[in-house]
Amino acid sequence: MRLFLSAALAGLLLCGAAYAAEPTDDEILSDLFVITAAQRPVDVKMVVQAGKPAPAEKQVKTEMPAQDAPQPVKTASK
Amino acid sequence: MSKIGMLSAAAIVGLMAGAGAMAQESVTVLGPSLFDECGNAAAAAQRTGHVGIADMHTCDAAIGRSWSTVGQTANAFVNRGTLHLARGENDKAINDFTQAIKADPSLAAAYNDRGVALSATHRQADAIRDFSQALALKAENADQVTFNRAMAYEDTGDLKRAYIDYRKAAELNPSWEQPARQLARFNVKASPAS
Repeated sequence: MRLFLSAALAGLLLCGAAYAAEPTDDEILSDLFVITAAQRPVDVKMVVQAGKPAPAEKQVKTEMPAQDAPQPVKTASK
Repeated sequence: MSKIGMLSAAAIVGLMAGAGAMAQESVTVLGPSLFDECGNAAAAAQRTGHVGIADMHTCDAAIGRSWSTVGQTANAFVNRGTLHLARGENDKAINDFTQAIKADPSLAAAYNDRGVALSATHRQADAIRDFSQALALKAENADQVTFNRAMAYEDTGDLKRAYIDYRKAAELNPSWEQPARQLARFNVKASPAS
């Protein structure tokens, strides 16, 4: 009798844990779950990512036309 | 030629050579800061939403530089694209992000930002494709890209994939409250049929 009760309790705990666990992505996508959502607030915006300085391995020089080359600045010589 | 004349000529040549050597030692090439300025303008535009005409000119100049590196050009296109985005010029933004991708197809930020611009023009399927590409390229801020894709999925009515992406964004960056806040709007129930 005691053994039976223990087994039943363990079974209940297992079922409870399984119920409380977050469904997996596959379970969400299956017909097992239905999802509804309240309207998204209008002030929620997507995140834009600004460009960053090019990493070192991307520093491949393009062809430099002579007429468009950077002009050296002569500083005062000592 | 007289002896004095020859000495004078030699002295002039010597002076010219010396001046040339000194000038070469102290050459400073102007240029790289323009790309930084363009990047700073883009970052500021994201914070404030304000884009000055000077910011746009800075990025125009950065893109126009023919001696830039491939990476610099691609980033300058991304940055100018974000300026256009802040001004609501979505088509110009999309064009700049596309140019950035052409210059550097591995630039994940360009795909993310083009996705944002496409979403703003109600092209959610294309936006989702770009966000997925940014994630495939191991975007640095994968939490943000995943969040963006969640919003795009939600806008298509695919609440299941939106929920999965909001949840993923929350997992990627637990300290960012925005994904958790969006998840709170969702209600997941076992299907009555199951």
